[in-house]
Amino acid sequence: MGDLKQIAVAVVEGQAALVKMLVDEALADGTTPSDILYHGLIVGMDIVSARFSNEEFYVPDVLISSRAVHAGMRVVRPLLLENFAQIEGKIAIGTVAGDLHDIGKNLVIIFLRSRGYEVVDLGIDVHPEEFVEAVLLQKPQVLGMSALLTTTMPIMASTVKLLEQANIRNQVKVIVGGGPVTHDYSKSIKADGYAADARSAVNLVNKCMSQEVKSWSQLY
Amino acid sequence: MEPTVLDSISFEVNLEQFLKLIRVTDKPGYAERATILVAEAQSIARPKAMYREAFIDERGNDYVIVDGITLTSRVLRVNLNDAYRIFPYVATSGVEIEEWSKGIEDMLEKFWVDAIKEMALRVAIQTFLQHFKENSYGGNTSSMNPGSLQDWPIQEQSKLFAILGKPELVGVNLSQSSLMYPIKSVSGFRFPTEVNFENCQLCSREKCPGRKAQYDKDLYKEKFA
Ligand code: B1M
Repeated sequence: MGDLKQIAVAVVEGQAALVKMLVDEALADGTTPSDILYHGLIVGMDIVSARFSNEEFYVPDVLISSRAVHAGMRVVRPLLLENFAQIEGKIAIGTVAGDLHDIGKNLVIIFLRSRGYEVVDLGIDVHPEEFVEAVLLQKPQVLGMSALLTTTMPIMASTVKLLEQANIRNQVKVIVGGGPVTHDYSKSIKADGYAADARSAVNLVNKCMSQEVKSWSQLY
Repeated sequence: MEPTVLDSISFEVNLEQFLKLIRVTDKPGYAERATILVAEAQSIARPKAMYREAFIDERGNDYVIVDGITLTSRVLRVNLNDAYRIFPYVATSGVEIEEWSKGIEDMLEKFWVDAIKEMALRVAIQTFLQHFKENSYGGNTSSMNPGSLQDWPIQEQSKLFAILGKPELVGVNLSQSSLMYPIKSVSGFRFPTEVNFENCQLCSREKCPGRKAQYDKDLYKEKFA
């Protein structure tokens, strides 16, 4: 496990080349890709997000560490993909129609990707029909919506309704976030969860996925 | 009155400050790449702004007609009680830097470039404000922006653009959802006023970085109801 600790430290320090080298070495030593991901890369990223929450790290630091995680992820991901059960899950996320604010959404995406999730970025100005289409085509376990304008929040409610009308509401967990959005609002529109920031978005997705994994195990 | 178009705004990034902002001063490899991006952005970016003077024709309870176009908002109506003209404006990072930035794939570099684009927008806003003060109205003014308050939603953007006339002169277009492209653009109007007004005074959003004024929970009732 010594090497895994080094990987985590290199992630915190944002040393992408070193992370890649350490991951290659760990694999050569027989460490499993899953251990490298969960006990090396993700441990490092968890430290980074804790420091971000404590305001010891700022957004640019998180991005540099995230890049280091990706350098390692690029090596282990194909190996993990060989075993479907080891893949974390898929999230589709976008900024709702009529809204362009994407800095927060992009940060959430970076955190999720650094946690090993596959994220489909639907971009900005995403209409309810486009969210529904993404669920049908991409089959994510979680659908995320971000809104920064008070006036665009109702698009979230319309999307949930459209998912119901399309009879696919139970196929996907819906999570919401963004400046004016609150926990109460998320409940009022029957979303599955609300996150106030990027770190809690990851925790929320983890929760959604652990419920999802239970149902997968029933399937397989 | 013809709009004033400011389209030869120079754009220079303070490199030292920028490298500090993105926290790479002690990371030579990153600093080098960021320096290259700044140089490219500076040579490409053409921040722009335009504004004009427009006159109030009529006022109702919750609307004001400006140059024949009805702007609907109670807050706007009250704010313009003593004004007889407004100055609609749009400022933008410019389409040139927006197009160039589309070629950047790396997420870290995307973030840096986003910050550079926002700097270009800020330069456009500053240039507009200075030009406006020196050439159009030197007295005290405040600003309102479509979308900043529920009372004056983003859908009013197209009316503001119609009053402004030809925003395409600075390369800004409105989408069907009333969003401006390039993304790094802001719109609004300035109006002469003795009492400063900030949208933030009427917005109760918590944890809002960059707030320009405290939320005043009684203000709407006292002044705008
Ligand atoms: C799915 O699950 C999840 C979970 C968590 C999620 C989540 C999803 N999404 C977000 N989160 C959460 O995690 C993130 C990370 O921790 C957090 O994301 P945030 O986005 O909250 O935080 C980011 C990391 C940083 N925060 C931000 O990036 C937003 C900051 C503020 C200042 C802001 C910015 C930067 C911008 N803006 Co705009 N802007 C404002 C914002 C005021 C504010 N203080 O919030 C706001 C949102 N803007 C507003 C407006 C009106 C506008 N803006 C406009 C323009 C801009 C800029 C271009 C200058 C820039 C855009 C940058 C961009 N590409 O996103 C205009 C539209 C432009 C256009 N192209 O059409 C314009 C319409 C104004 C105009 N007429 O010109 C206001 C909305 C008012 C309202 N009550 O609804 C506003 C509150 C400013 C204000 N006080 O008036 C959490 O919310």
